[in-house]
Amino acid sequence: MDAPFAQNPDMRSREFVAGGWRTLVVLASVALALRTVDAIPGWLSGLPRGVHLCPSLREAEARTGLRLDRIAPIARTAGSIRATASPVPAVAIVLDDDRSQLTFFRSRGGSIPTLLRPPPSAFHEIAVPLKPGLSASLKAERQADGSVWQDLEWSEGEITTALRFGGRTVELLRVARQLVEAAP
Amino acid sequence: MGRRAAECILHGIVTAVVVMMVLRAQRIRNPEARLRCWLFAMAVPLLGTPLFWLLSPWRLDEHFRDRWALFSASHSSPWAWHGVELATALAWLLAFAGAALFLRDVIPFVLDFARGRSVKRTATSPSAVLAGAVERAAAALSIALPRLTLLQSQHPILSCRGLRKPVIVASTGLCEMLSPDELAAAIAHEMAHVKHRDPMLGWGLMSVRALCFFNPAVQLAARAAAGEIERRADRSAACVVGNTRSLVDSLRKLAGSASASHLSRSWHRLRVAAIEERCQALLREKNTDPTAISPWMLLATAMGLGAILFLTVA
Repeated sequence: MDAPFAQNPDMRSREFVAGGWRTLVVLASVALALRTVDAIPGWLSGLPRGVHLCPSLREAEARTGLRLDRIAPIARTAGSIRATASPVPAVAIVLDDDRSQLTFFRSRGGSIPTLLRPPPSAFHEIAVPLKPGLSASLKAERQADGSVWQDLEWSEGEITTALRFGGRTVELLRVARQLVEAAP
Repeated sequence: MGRRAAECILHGIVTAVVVMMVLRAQRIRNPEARLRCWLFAMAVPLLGTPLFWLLSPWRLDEHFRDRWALFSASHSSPWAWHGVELATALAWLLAFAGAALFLRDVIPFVLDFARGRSVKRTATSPSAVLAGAVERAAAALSIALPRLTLLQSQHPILSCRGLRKPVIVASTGLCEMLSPDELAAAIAHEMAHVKHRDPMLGWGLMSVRALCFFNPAVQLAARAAAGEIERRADRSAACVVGNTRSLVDSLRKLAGSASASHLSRSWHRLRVAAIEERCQALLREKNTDPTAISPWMLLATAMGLGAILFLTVA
């Protein structure tokens, strides 16, 4: 410090405390600035913290460690890919389809996080067999505009997969069976 | 590898900002204390960041980034242009800036070194005034008398060289240009470099810069450290000769006469500006400022910075 420390112990401790406060303010300002810069992409994209918009399926695979190459048969192109690593690695892929929008969810080690998929408020729920020994839970929920969406969810080992679809139930089940058959 | 280099750059920038702010907030003006701070800023991305990788590899996991990190460059991934992420582009830009800063300083350094070697052959015996100035400065600084080499050159040359056995190199042009008082002050400045083993420190700085050539924060911290080394020698010289004015005059004369033949014009201007800043500091400040920053304060700052860097991931 440039100014010599005072000989008086009181003065010295006062200078020490003042110096401590100044250092604390510096460190807190830097931490706050870093946190603010980190939050900017989230504010601009409207995504909550921890959810990433991935430019490709490969990037989503790299972030989450989930295998996504098997979803190729169900859609030509992925519209938007969101991924999160916590509390469990999970992805949500909106698939562009000519008729209805289909959203694909997959997670490992737990249910699909609500950051990616708000829990469906179902008015109807049944169990649907996808293949021998594997059944899925099919839920129907009514949207604010009066349309009905189907939500199909099943688990194989530690992998949970779900599909949200605005079209016909038959079509949704066909897609789900395609995915189950394509699984290794 | 790229991500790790980006983290070195990021940590270097954060450390340099913290060091700069702490130096200002604590009003630290003593060159010795400031030099230590800048050396610390250089050491963090070189040693601290790899230590984090070694001790806590899980820091780079997505889970840590999303839940605990203060800053993670991966959070800017939605911003991409032609498949290149903004964070990646920024890291490349900073790496180029670092390399440019390194080259900008290393090229004149190499040219100076080569020039010094080429004129070494025409050495002559030093004059009594020069030898007396060296002896007086050595006695005042309580150091052994270094070897003195006088070069037969019209250019005013004065430098301190040699890693293990320092040598003071002066030229006949220098002795003609400076008055005896100014010469004594200039020699005292170089003798202060001998006392603090600054040639070794200078090579050390250059080695770290070469190792972290891509890191602009390390390059700037090294420049700041080099400036503090000069200021420290200025202060010691002012103490030895007891006359700040003659040291300032000699510095100004040397800066004004620096040959532009081997230096680019902009580099020359920067050098003159840096020397003028040192002169102003010498005239403004007193030599009695002690280094009184508390070691506890330094430890607390280092720990706080360590925590911030631990939570900052590229």
